[in-house]
Parts: sequence; structure tokens; C-alpha cells
Amino acid sequence: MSDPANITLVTMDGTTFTVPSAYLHRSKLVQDWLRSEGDKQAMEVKHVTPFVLQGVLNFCEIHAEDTSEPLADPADPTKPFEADPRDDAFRGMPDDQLLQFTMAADILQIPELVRLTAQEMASRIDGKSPDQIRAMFNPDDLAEEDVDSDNEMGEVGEEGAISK
Amino acid sequence: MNVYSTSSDNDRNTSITPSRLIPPEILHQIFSLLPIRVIRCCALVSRSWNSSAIPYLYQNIVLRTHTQLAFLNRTFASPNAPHLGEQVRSLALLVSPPLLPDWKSHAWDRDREIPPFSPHADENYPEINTGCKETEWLETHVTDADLRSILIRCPNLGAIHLNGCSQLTDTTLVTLADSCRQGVLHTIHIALLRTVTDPSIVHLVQRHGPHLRNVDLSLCTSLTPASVALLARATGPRLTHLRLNSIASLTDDSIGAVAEWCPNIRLLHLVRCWKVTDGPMTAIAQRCRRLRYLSVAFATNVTEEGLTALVNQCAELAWLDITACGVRLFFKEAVLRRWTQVRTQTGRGEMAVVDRKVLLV
Repeated sequence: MSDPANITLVTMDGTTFTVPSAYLHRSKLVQDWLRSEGDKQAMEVKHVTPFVLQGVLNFCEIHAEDTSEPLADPADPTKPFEADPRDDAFRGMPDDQLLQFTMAADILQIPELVRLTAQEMASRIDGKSPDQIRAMFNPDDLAEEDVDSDNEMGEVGEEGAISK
Repeated sequence: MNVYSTSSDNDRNTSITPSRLIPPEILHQIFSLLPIRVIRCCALVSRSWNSSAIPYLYQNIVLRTHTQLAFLNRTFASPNAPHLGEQVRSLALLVSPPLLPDWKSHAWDRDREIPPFSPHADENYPEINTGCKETEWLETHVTDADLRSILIRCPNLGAIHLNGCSQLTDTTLVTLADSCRQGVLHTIHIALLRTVTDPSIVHLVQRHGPHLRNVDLSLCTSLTPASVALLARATGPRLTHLRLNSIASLTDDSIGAVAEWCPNIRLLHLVRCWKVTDGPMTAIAQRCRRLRYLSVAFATNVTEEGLTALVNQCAELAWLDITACGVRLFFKEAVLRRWTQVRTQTGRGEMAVVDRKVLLV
């Protein structure tokens, strides 16, 4: 299968983005799609808004020239994380946008971006109380039954005796 | 069929789905980067967060008091938590926190706790000191019944640390062997289970033998050399850590079996195995080239001959305990000097030789 020079991505509302395929060499989803049979006109990226996809492609553009080893498992905490000054834009964005970027990175399967956004989310969660976390990520839709008796399970924790 | 909703420009920045539910796989990404102290808070955020966080909270359980053990028992028995046990990957019963912290140590903090199986923990941990008050709960309170109700619910247990629980008997070992799924259990530390006998070890080895990597049988004084040889044979190249301290009946044959079957051994403690001589030491020197930690303290029949072979041939050897072993006092200084010389000549790393003073009162 020959690599096309450009890849066209279509978001949920029909906005199209055409980028050099070198940008997306880290995205497992795109690579699988390239390897698969069939029509290579444009790739549909459902569940991603144009704004988020634009941001993701910016990230890909910045890192297109990177030669570092691809990350096998972004959830591996033993790999140290180095903050890259080029990614500062991702670190400054509001919580809900960051969450959408994390989801987009997960959909496109770009391990480096998953790691970056998850790390940023983790550092924002760190030190917050459950109520503060709720305010960050679930501001409006916390259904009644969601709150009721979570304490029973959660409080037990790792060494439950002390939590009580 | 794909149904696309048309979005107007001004809500492009907001989320697509009305609820901002974070998918479990993303929570998994985030939680894997967080310390346990934060995950404990996350478990209280919502139901979906809770179900994603619970596996992390129960993965590595460290217990330091009998109250904690009883509480874990009660948690597992409660109807709210039928499958919690399946999350458990390691269980460690450790000495209680220091009763009187001295001026230089921190007050005990469970978030700073390092489970004995984590890569940051000391793999060359010293023998348990039963003389101190902190081990009392292990020796007097932990019973077979306590552990049975936990073990039968933990089929995915990979590592267990029960050093010092001297009340435990064969029953616990058999329960452990039967309740863990095959191929999962890899680390088992049961030092000081004095009443454990050969049949239960044989049973354990038959079920889990080929997967065991790290075994501590120190002070299991009822064991015979035959079961140790069987263990070595069944585990084979997988075995990397083996402690056989104070199993005084051990002979050259059983250590010879270790040398023969376990070429990847990395840590070997033979404190007070006084029947062992230089023979198996040379065998180990020839076959187990990855040895890193060796203790022959108080093994009075291991002399400079066997140890010199080890020092010459095991390039990775980094720690050697020769306290009161058979190295003749007359030669000791010369032998030690020679060892250092050999290490520097061959360009091998530093080797720490431990030789504590023994005071016979």
C-alpha cells in the first residue's frame, strides 16, 4: 500500500481538513485506516469537533519531525514524562476543552497526545477534593442516583481501617 | 447509519454529547498517572469514576495492623463488594508502623508506603527482626481463618508477603495454592511459617511451580531438602529470588539442584545453612552468572574457595554477606584484598562485602 501525500479528515459536521500524511504517522487509527482496504477518499473522524481536530492537528504538526521512539503504552507510569515547551498551549486550556482533547487523542490513538493531556488532567486533579473534581468535569449532569451511596464503596480505600 | 447533528459556530467549543461523562478508558489513562492518595478522592466523584477507581485502590494491599486485616475481611464479606477480591494483585502483611517514631523518621504516612513488590522497594530486604514489638501482630494475631476468607476471594493474586506470620499453617498455603489461578502467582514470601511441611509445598509447586519467580522460605524449619530441590526443579529458569535462611537441614544436594535448574537466579540467601559446603558454590559460580546478591552468613562450611570462584565468575555480583561464614580468619584480609583486585582488574562493578562483627555473649 503506497502512502498518499495528503490525508483528508472529515469531522462530524462535515468540516474537512487536509494535512500531509507525515503529520499523522503517530496516530494508530489513521495508520490502520491506511493499511485497510477500500476507498481512501477521506477519513471520517466522528465524535470530534472541528475546533478540537484543529488543535490535535496543530500538535501533530509541531511533532511531525520528532524522531523519538513511539510510546507503546501511554498509561505506563514508569516512563518519566518530560514537559515540552512547544506544548504549552495544551497546558493552558480550560478543563472541558482539555477533556475533549484527551478524548480526541484517544479516538485517533495518538499515544503522545494521550499522555500529554492525561498528565495535564492528572496534575489538575491532584490535590482537589471530590467536590472540586465534580465541579471541574461534571458540572451539570450529576444525576441524583449518582451521588447517593458512593461513600460506602469509595471510603473503604486501600487500607480501609484508617479511612473510617 | 450515521446521524450527524449540525452544530452552529458558537457551540463548537463545547462538548458534543450533552453529558460530559469521561469514558472509562480515559479515566484509566489518568488514574494510571496518579498516586493512590488522589485516586482515593476520585473514587468519591461519581459512580462511573468510582467503578474505574476501585481496581486501582485494591490492586496492591498493604496491611500493617490487625485492625486493617479485620476491616479488609469485613469489606470483602459485605454484599456491596462481591468482586473486589478479583482486583487484588498483591497482598502484603508488614510490621506495624513504629510505635515510637524517632526524631529522624517521619510520622507514618500510608501514602508514602512502598509495597514490598514494587520496583522501588528493596529486593535485598533483610531478615525480619522478631525481637521488636512491631512484629507482634504478625506473630500472635494473624490466623489461618483471617487469611482464608481473603484468599478465596482473590483469584488474581500475583504476589503475597506473609513473612513473620508464624501462626499460619499448611492450611493457608493449600488455600493459596487452590484459590489463585494458575500462571498468576509469581511471588510468595512465607518466612517464619515454621509449621509448613513438605506436602503443602509440593502441592503449591505442582500448581504454580513453573511461574514462581520469587520465593522466601526462610525459617520454614519443618521443610526437608527434598522439597527445596523439587521447588528448584519445578521453577527452573523463571526463579530469580530465593531465600532459604535457617533451613538447617539443607544439604549440598538441594543447593546443587538450585545451581542446576535455576540459571537466572539473582538473589540467594543461605543464612545459617551450615551443612552447605563449597561444592554447590562452585556449581553456582559456573551456572548462575546473573547472581547479584548472595548471603552465606553463618554458613560455617562455606569457605574462601567457593566464594572466590563466585567472585571471579559472577560478573554482576554486587552484594556478598560473609558474616561469620567459613572464611578462615587468618586469610580473610588477603582474600578480601584479592577480591577487590580481581574486580578492578576485570573492570566489574563495585561489590559490597558485608562482614558484621559477631559478639558471643
